[in-house]
Amino acid sequence: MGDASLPFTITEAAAALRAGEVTSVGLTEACFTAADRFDETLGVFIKRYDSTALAAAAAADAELAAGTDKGVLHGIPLGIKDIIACAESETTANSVVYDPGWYAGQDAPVIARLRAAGAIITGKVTTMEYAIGLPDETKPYPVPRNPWDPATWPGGSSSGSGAGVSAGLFMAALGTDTGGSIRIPAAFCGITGMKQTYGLVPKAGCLPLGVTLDHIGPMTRSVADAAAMLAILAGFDPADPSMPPGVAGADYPTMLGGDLSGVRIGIDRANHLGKEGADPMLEARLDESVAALAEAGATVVDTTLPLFDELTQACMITMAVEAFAFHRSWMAERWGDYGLGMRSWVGTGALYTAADYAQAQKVRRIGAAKLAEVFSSVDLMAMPTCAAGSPSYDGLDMGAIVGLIYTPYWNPVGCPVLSLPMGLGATGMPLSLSIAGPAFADGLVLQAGDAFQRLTSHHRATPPLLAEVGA
Amino acid sequence: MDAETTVRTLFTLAGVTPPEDEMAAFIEGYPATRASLDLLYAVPDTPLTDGILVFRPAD
Repeated sequence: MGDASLPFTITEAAAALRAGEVTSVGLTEACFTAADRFDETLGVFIKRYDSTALAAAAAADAELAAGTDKGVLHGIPLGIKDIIACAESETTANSVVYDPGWYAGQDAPVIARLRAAGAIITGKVTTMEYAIGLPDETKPYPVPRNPWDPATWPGGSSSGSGAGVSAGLFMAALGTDTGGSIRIPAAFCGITGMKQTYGLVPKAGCLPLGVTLDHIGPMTRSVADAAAMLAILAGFDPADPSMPPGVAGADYPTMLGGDLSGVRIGIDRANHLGKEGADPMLEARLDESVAALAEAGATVVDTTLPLFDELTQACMITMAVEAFAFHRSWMAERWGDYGLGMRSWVGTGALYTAADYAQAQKVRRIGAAKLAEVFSSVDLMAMPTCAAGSPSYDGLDMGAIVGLIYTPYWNPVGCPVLSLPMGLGATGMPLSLSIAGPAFADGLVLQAGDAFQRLTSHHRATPPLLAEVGA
Repeated sequence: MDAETTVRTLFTLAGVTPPEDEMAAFIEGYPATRASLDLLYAVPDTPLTDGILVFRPAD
């Protein structure tokens, strides 16, 4: 899919498939060709499903030719983060510590929904170990790299999903997000990522990091594509007890249109600008983005998010405690088998008391109430996703990175957040805008992001790596 | 209790034994860990204190 003659987005590919301009087999083969070309550098795939994917693509072509149309994802090749179960292979979580019998031979509900919609599963892709930490070169998994500059980190934990979409190894992917693991790699790799409302998409069949914070969501090249995927993914499944009974998604693509008249958007500068280490272009890119939202008809007003540091800490504490509770038995026996980055993070979960955890949950409840007050005066919030672009692997320090990442605020309150490209920073790496809304206002969040992308072309920029090889 | 004693005790109670170099890093980072908790305990109480951990017996 690095081939410039092929459709760039799912939406465009769906039209081309139905016009007979491309086939699903052709799209899937193009993805695998891109993987053959780039994956040794980018470290995206853990396991490729070439034969089953091409068979599914051939079936999709036959179905479409026979008039059986399953919708916009029919025949579209996707990548899956390897903490989500697919029937084709075991789920490793990028770790040597895992249960090969977990969900063996089964699909997670989200995978079953994608297959029912005709999507083509191309394989499992890299993640930080159990969706936390940093790559560990001592472990038997690829080190993911950013297509915009392979000397830099693609972000995490949905690293392979972000890098793979950016480089065209698949047209879209599933990632997961506990404190920003969809939105951070989307930001660093110059693509679109959506963390929808907590409980809207079933996460059964996904290995947990922080069970009360985890989300599975789409990573795509456009907001329209994210809307199409979320329409398939959303909706109640009894296998996930965190879902509100009867919760349903919506026909999100029909909510897009480009007109934001009457939509009030708060811009949080106070918590997001002026940080040490921030990209010098960050404020200018934010201002340009705000201007685009206003051009689409929105009313924009500076608004400061409440309890920003407190909710960020509540996320970190909740994540560490819930992750440690899941891994404790294995950690007691196999501490050194985990990567250093993962065990350093998750090990801190042993250092909090039960009262600390309960206090974090109290702050979540108080924060959600204060945020509801904000959303009574504005419909949406917008702010940078991160203070800077992708950091170099040389001297990569998670402690320093955390201070430049603004995503964890939103997980403890469960709100939908969209991350989308807003132009390049001073280092030539992508910067990202986040648009957030109140719980279950996913459609409005997507509408605003789509309106932004109708007026800008940042999401259509491709990494220099593709141009260098003439792709 | 000082940071070293606290961290070693908590890991012992958890049944996990990091090697000494990693234990030293946890001990060094522990004051920051507590500081992050101080931030949370400083949030003023509200009537929302009730029901922060939800349990529904019918679930």
